[in-house]
Amino acid sequence: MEFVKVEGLTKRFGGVLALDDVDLSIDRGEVHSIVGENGAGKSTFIKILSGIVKADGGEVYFEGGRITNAHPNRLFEIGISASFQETSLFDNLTVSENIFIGELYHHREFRVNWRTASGRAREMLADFGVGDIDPQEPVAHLSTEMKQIVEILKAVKVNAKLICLDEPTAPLTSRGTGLLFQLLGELKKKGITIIYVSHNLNEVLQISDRITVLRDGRKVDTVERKDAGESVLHDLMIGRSIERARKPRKGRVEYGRPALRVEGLSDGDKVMDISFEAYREEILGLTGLVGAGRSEVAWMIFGLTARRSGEVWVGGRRIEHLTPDAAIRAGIYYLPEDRRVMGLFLNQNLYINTTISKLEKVKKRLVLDFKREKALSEETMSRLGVKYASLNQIALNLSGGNQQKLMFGKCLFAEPEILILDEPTKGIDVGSKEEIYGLIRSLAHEGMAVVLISSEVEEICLLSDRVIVMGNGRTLGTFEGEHINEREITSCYLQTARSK
Amino acid sequence: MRAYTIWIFLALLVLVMSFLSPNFLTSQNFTTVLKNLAPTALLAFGLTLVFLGGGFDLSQGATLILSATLIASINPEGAIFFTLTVLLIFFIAFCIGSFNGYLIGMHRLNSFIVTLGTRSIVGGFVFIHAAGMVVSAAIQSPILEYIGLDRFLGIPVQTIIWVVIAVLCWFVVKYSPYARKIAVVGSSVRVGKFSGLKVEGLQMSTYVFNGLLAGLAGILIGCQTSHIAPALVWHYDFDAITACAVGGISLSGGKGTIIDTLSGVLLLGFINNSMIMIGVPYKWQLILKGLVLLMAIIADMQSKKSYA
Amino acid sequence: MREKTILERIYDFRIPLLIVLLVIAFSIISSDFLSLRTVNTLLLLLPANGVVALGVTMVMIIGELDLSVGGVVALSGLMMVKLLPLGTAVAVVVSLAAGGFIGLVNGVIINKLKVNSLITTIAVGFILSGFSLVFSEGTVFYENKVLTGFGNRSLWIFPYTTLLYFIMTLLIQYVLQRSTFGIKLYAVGGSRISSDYSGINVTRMGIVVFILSGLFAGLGGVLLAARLSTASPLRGSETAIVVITAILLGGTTLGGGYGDVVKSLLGILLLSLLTKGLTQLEVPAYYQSMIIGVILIFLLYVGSRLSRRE
Repeated sequence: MEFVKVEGLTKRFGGVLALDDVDLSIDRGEVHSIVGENGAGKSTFIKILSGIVKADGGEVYFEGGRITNAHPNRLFEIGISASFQETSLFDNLTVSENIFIGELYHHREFRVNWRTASGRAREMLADFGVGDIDPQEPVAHLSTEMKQIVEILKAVKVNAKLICLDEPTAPLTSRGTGLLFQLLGELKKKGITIIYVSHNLNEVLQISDRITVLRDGRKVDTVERKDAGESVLHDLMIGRSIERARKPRKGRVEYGRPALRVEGLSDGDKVMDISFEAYREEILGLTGLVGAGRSEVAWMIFGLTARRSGEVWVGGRRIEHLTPDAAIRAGIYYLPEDRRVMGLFLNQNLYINTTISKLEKVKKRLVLDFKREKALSEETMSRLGVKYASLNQIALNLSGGNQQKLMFGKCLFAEPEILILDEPTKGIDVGSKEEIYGLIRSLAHEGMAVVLISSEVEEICLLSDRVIVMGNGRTLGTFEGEHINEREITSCYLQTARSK
Repeated sequence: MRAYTIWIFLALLVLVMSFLSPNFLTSQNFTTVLKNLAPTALLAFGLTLVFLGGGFDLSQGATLILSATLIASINPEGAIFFTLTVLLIFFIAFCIGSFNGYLIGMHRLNSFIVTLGTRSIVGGFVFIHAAGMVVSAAIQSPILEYIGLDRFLGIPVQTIIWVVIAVLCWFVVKYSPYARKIAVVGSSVRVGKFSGLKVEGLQMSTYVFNGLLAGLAGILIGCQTSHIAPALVWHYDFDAITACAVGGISLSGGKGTIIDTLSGVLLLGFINNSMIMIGVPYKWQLILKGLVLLMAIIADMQSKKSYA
Repeated sequence: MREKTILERIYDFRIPLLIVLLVIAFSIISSDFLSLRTVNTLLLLLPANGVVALGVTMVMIIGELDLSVGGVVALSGLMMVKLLPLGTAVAVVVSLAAGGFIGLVNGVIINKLKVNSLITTIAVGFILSGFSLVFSEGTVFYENKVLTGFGNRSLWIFPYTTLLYFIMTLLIQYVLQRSTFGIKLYAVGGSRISSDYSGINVTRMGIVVFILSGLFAGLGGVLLAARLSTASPLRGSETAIVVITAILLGGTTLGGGYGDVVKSLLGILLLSLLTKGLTQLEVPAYYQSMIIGVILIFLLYVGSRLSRRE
């Protein structure tokens, strides 16, 4: 009897087929990874397995019993638990309350002894190497990385037989990732089965026993770890061999006046002293460890947060009071990291999302011109290759990659001259990634000044003409030309890690 | 549009009533109903904008009563005096709305609590002015009488006023960039900020707008009769809230149209009217009103579910 | 987490501090304020709204609102009086059960049919007001020594009803902080979705909390009828607003996931103190509500400025 068996699993979201007749089986005690494009259905697969999303067709069997479309409560009971990208923690409860809340289902007693629970939580946290988190601390006060750790502990805590992890390392530092892998090792020793969904092929190759590749909602293949390598996986994921152009864009641009110049920027908190210039037709990469203050720099430039000191010049003109509105008018646009919470109005439709930053373009004598609005939106959507059912559908129903493209569309609609992108390909599949890279390059080519903030060094090296590495709110180093390579850049910001 | 259920309900009600009561389907009755809808309608339109922006306003009833008692007691005669009084009342309503809007929009305080507080404060002013008694002028000024009771081309002036405002509001909510911005801010203040919208000011403006409409509604009530018993007119704001909810305006913001609001306002108005027509005693009116309301919102929720 | 500033610590204790300040202020202005009699009268006023607040606080912790409590207060009082011929205990129990039943109806509509709680409870409140008038168009008098005695007599300065209220508050507080039910309540208030995934039956919690609110509102109506020796359909018109104001003053938030009944008790105490004190000073009723409105907004403002610092 297979431990987990999936037959013909199918799921539709609106007009899009997220999973298409997927067959899969998972062995007891293995670490089984699932990789593939976001539109490929990995997240959907996990969500169906853990009962959060209902399948439209197909069956799921666990230890021989049918569990298709069972409620998460029931799955909890039989030993399946999951931890997701969007943390499902209770901000208003403490760490130990969060960890143990799932257990309450089994807890038939009326009273809860929080002191004991807190003590056990403390032990667990210490085991996991994060003994400095206080179990009594309200989760709302924790950093994102801490929250993710608690989230994982929550899933691990319940006497689970099967644990599904969806992109668990996304907000973690390398230390956190190391601890996680250690923990996974311990779990495996106890005979617990792990399903691991990730974009990070390095990690996947490190820990998996077997790897399943999904593409466009279908299962492509399941390979043993020994048979897999990064390029093999890539090919399976995309269906064609990619020759990843590893050389940075050649050709020097004439440096005239900078489109954007910042000097001595500081917010008194994350950013201490940053200065740089961004030129048209150039992609400036901004990288560093999580917490280095890169997004915070962008927020100050875009006027979202106040600056303690420093100046910002756009096209030679100094801007005193920066608000997002003023920034947009000056030609700057910021593409936030989290499209769902910062970038798109999820419950509004596609054309409302697209045009909102520059409604003047769809106005006809003080009034909105819906025809023009829809026409322009359609244009934008097709230019970016967004797949959608109708302009009237709400943004929530688009897949991750398409949502990201929609956000690009919203940004481009405002016709910026300076584009600040914050992790533009986070949580995006390889296929869409390549499309977005192409888009970024062509935008720069057309004359935009692009500031690319990214944690993926590979991405930075691929796209940037110049690179600035940040650490602790300051510039650690700048790189140009042939110095833009993974080795040099990584070692630059590992300096900070060592010196911490 | 989700409000189809409400319109159907309304049609059913009219149908049933035309059998139950001989006087229902008369132009006289309909004229009266539409005329009496004026205050609720105006409040509901203002509230629609507030809801659209993601907020809540409990204070409009107080603004309404204050305006009503002011105009009734001042009882201005002559066009100039009248205009000045109206401007004064609008100014006061503007101040109340701005106070709400400032605290909620600029300082990001909770709209429920703030408007609850404003309601008490403004309510207090009403009592200071009227000392809880009935406000009445011995003889009502002819201008007030005109607005309150007269007709223009056969249609009551009050009806004309609110219908005109309805059309204006509908137009603004549907076609203006302003309303579009309010709606997206209601969807998400944060994303609105990231999109370059001045969210604080936008949300603040909805309260100012609502205050002004409440002031207008109060003026209309104040013109209807020279006797205003403040205690009797405290229900208009709850009526407006329920009209919006029944009509399908999203209470969490971002979605809603004036047509939706209108459906709620009309349904509510005709329910009230129907019960009076049948001769339902007040206590049963309350029960029936509550029941129909309940059924309407349940039905609406069911229809929304199948849409999602 | 960084240390709190002095201002923040003061803010945490704002309600008790305000209460103390008010007591001092009033006793300076009015010499007999601190007399045993005054204290006793003040305490007597607490339970009617206080008990209702117990239920509404729980509803607010779960993130909803219950505006039908006023109607329940009126109706349960009337029901009890009408049923007295059947025996005091029976009358009280049935009235409470009626409150619970109304809560059940609310709970089912809001949680099973997924209708907005504000509007639902407003509508139900309408219906209840109507039913109250069906029971009786005017005030109903009755005679029942046990009830009136319980409703008015005291142990030293503490009225029996108030003692009941205090004890119930402590009990409910214990349940909230130390029981499975309590943590589930806060969890659902914090995030319905996460609660669902964690195995909590969100629908059931939602229904139970409204049943409780109805029960407590019913108790409030009974206590009120006991104290005043009458029942009236006009009662309860202001109950919802007063109770919610008291709860908000106490520090429970509207968003759900935070708050407790001890805070609400302090809020009720503050509100009653304010009302009684101002009445004693012959401040007219409308000024009183104005002052309360100002205090509400002021506290909100200060609270937001302090949390802005974080």
